Amino acid sequence: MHLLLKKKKKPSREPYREISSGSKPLKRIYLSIILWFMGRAIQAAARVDKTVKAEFDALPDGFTFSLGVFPDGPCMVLGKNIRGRVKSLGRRGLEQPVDVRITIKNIEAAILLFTFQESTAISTIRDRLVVDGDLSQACAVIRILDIVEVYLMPKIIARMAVKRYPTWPMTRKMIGRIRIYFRAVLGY
Amino acid sequence: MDTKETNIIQHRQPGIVENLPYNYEFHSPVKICSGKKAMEHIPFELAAMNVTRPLVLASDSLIGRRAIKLLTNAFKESEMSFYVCDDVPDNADAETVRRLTTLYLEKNHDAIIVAGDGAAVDIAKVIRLMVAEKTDDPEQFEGEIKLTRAPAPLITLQTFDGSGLEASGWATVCNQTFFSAQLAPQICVIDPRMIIPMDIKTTWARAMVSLSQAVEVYMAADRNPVAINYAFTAIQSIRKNLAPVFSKWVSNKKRLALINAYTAAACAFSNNQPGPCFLLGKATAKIGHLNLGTAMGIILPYAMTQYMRKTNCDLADLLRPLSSGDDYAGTTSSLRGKKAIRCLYDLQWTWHQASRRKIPLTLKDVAVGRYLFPDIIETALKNGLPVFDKSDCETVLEHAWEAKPLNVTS
Repeated sequence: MHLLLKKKKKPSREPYREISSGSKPLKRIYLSIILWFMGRAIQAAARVDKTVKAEFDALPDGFTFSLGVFPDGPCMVLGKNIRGRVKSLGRRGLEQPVDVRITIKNIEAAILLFTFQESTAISTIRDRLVVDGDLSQACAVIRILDIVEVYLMPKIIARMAVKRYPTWPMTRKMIGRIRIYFRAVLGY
Repeated sequence: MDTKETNIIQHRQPGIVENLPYNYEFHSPVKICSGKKAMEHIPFELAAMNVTRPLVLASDSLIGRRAIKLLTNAFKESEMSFYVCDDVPDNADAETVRRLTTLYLEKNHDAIIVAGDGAAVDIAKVIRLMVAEKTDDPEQFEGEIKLTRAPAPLITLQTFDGSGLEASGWATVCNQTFFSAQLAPQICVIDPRMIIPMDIKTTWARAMVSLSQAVEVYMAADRNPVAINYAFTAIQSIRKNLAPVFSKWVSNKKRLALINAYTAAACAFSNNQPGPCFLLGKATAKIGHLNLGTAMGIILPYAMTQYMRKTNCDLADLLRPLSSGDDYAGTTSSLRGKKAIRCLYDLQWTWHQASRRKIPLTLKDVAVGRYLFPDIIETALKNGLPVFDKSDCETVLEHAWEAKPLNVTS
């Protein structure tokens, strides 16, 4: 009995030791799902919403961009083919060099951004994002992200996620939302 | 610069253009990462500097253990391991510095992260100095050093307690003081999770070191507008945030603002030679066995007044961070220097009241006897005290002993 009660002695730590980088599997899975769905939603929004379509039209054909977590975290890659159609490319899109690479500095920053505790604008001014590529094109990507977030989220959440909540007519928002969700789930 | 342009700048920044030196140098390699989850940025910053094997030096204290725990969390998903050495003593001798330098070289580390207070940062700076200069004898260096090679990157995790020189190029190990602008850390991380509230006296003393540094930037003969802006930020932040943090129930935002002020003051001070307030305060602390900040806090207003009397320099600009904009605007330009000193005395009194009279106002309060004055003066003069001579030091110490205000006009 007393053997069970005997207090376990803590192993003494070495004064010099290596601490390997661990993982945060739940956060990684959450971000993978949200980025995957966001990619498909942008692809759908490019066909449903006129503003998103206009933003993509202003970008050159063959344009690709990625939004991911440093160093090798969850990532979303989208491209516009030579016929002007927007397509979510998934991770395989990174095999080719992308035109605009938006990198979130760490997984915690990505969680703040995609749990909508911080808007994209706030994240940017708090130096949580790094852009590699043309800045005006990156701004277009951020505008597209904001519009898609307005479609995907209810107003109470989307207000936290975007800089300024747009005053759209209810029909545009509701019909657009249904169409985008429908297309994103089916993937076309 | 034409007259119109000069007037525009003068309107925006009074006091800067008329004091703009023809030539000046300002060097601050410090990048400040401050705010929520700032520590999580470290792996990204290390990767940007091509670092693969960082060594974390930590003291075996509460702050050291907390820092390691937070760093372990921050490095998750970063695909970068780090190595911890958490037996760094508070008072390192040359042997410890040599042992840590050997460890750094043997294990092929390429950067140092310091999780701890001022002593650990000083040791890290000397290790970088020895590695850069390929030597195992820190005693061969003294004073200002010109490094032949760039030292390894250094990241410091700023704490609420510290020496006040973490973000500067100064380091003191084994009673030897080293200085090189290249020894300043590349990145200072100010994370609210690293804040451990201290008692009132320690908090005040820590703030006084930075306040003295920032005021000395204004007093320096070779001051420049960039350093002045750093000092302005530091003084204003200390003025606004120090009294509230004496309460336990204040939010960490004010403490975060203070740590930012300490970092800004150290960056500015790195570009100046230590002046009379700093050196006289340091000598008083050494001879009177006081905390450095306590000595500086008591001596600062008297040393500043004596400096104005001696040099006839105009410290009108100093009124801007020490008072509100309305006070500054409502004071005639010729009286602003005197008003700045008055504000400093008032601030000391405000802090004294806010701390329920816990912080000392005189050297008598901290039991520094008059019989120690000759030793203090001798030590200060030996350390290269600028501007002041023996009689000036005596005047300052005598007035600081019994809180007898000095008149600017002698």
